[in-house]
Amino acid sequence: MALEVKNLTFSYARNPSRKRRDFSPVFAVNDFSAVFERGKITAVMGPNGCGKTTLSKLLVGILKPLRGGVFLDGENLSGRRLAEIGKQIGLVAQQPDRQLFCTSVSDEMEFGLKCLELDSAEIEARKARYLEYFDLERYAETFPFELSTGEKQRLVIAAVIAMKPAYLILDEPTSALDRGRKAALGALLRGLASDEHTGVVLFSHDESFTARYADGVIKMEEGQTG
Amino acid sequence: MTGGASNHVKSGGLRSIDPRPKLMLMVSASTACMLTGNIPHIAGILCVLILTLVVGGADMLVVLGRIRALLLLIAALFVIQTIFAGMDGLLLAAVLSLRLLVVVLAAAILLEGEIRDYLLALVQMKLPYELAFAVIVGLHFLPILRDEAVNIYCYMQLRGKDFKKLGIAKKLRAYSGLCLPILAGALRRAYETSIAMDLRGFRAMPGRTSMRRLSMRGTDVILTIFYPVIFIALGFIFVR
Ligand SMILES: Nc1ncnc2c1ncn2[C@@H]1O[C@H](COP(=O)(O)OP(=O)(O)OP(=O)(O)O)[C@@H](O)[C@H]1O
Ligand SMILES: [Mg+2]
Repeated sequence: MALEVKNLTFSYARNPSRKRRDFSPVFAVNDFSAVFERGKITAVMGPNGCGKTTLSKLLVGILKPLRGGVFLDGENLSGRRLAEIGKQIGLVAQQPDRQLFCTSVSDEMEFGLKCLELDSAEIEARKARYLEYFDLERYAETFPFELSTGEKQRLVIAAVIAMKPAYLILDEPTSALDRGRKAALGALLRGLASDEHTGVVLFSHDESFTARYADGVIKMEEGQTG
Repeated sequence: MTGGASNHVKSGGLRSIDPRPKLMLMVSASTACMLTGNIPHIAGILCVLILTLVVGGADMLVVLGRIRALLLLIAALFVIQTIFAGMDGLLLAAVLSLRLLVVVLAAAILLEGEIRDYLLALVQMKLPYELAFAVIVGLHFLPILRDEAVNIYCYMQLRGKDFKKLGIAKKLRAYSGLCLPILAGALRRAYETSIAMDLRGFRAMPGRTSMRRLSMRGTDVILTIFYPVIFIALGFIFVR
């Protein structure tokens, strides 16, 4: 059981929204292969612009690979709808405020849980548990846009983790967290990996965090093979 | 090329023409097609626009790619109108769709040029810099909105919202749920941009000068007069 990428290649040049056509293809991700196992925390590290965010979007199907593919427990993800993928692979993207879309923190937590069609007791239980864990209960009725960056980041993490996906992809989840909150997140991720058998993929350049919590590290070079 | 320092990627054709004839084209084409309700007249204006793009050497595939979504929207509007208004509505629907097409194509011609040049042109036409800037920023706001929409749409689906599986009523509700975050996000980005610009000294120099001055050549002057004249002339030919 693993999330596997094989010979993944992607270039933004083919993106039709690019205005200038005089853009020789630069591969943001070039012939990248890796295996992310369930029950393990795998860190992917690399310098700015090496393609971490691009890879995270490829992993959940927001971007479509030019070549190669993403395989979820052996099955190619291409052609599957985002809504199906999202129930199995959770993504916490790099910019917290671009993933919040509800009018209150409480609604934000419930959104995914309702889409999973859980009963209301379970929804309430999970919501309460993760709002408390991430120290957000007092903001339950707040408009998410009014939170601080770190609070937004915690909210996104809480909302995605509450859905209990089999795989969890986190793009720089610690970028806005203070030391105590980082440790709390690290402990939670370790718990998810061992107790719930979640496969965690951690994109980061926070070396102390990955050294402390990850089981393995994959290095990414600029547009290079992993 | 217009202006010594311009660094156009592709030169020649439409791209090397001064921005002012293009602005004039946009204004006169849209005014003409709003004033007339005559289908051959509007079709004639459309032909002039298409000819301008082709003769001007625009890459038609790129142009089509840019306006594809809008073309679909216009087609959809046309269909919906004819369904609800029957044969009487057909004519009205056709006029409306053709007018929209004119505006879209005129905008496509505007896009064959550097945004900066339009800013410069507006300023040289004595429009205050802030106002000219606001016009250009407005143009930039549309892609931001689209960006924001695609983005939110993706993340909603990843949290399990399956838009394809919803019935019509629920689908409409779900789509309307997209509006608020999209607008809020776009407004916030626009607001933050304006603060950042103020902090970096925008408006600090009232009499801002520009290194480059646009100068109209013979063709540019002729074109600026040509477009309004031809659109009016088409009116005299078709409207009787
Ligand atoms: N929307 C886009 N259009 C075109 N090019 C892009 C786009 N997004 C990223 N790129 C380019 O692709 C490359 C990889 O970007 P990516 O965001 O994946 O890097 P990253 O490893 O996440 O960097 P960081 O550590 O700064 O988050 C960069 O060179 C970047 O300039
Ligand atoms: Mg990144």
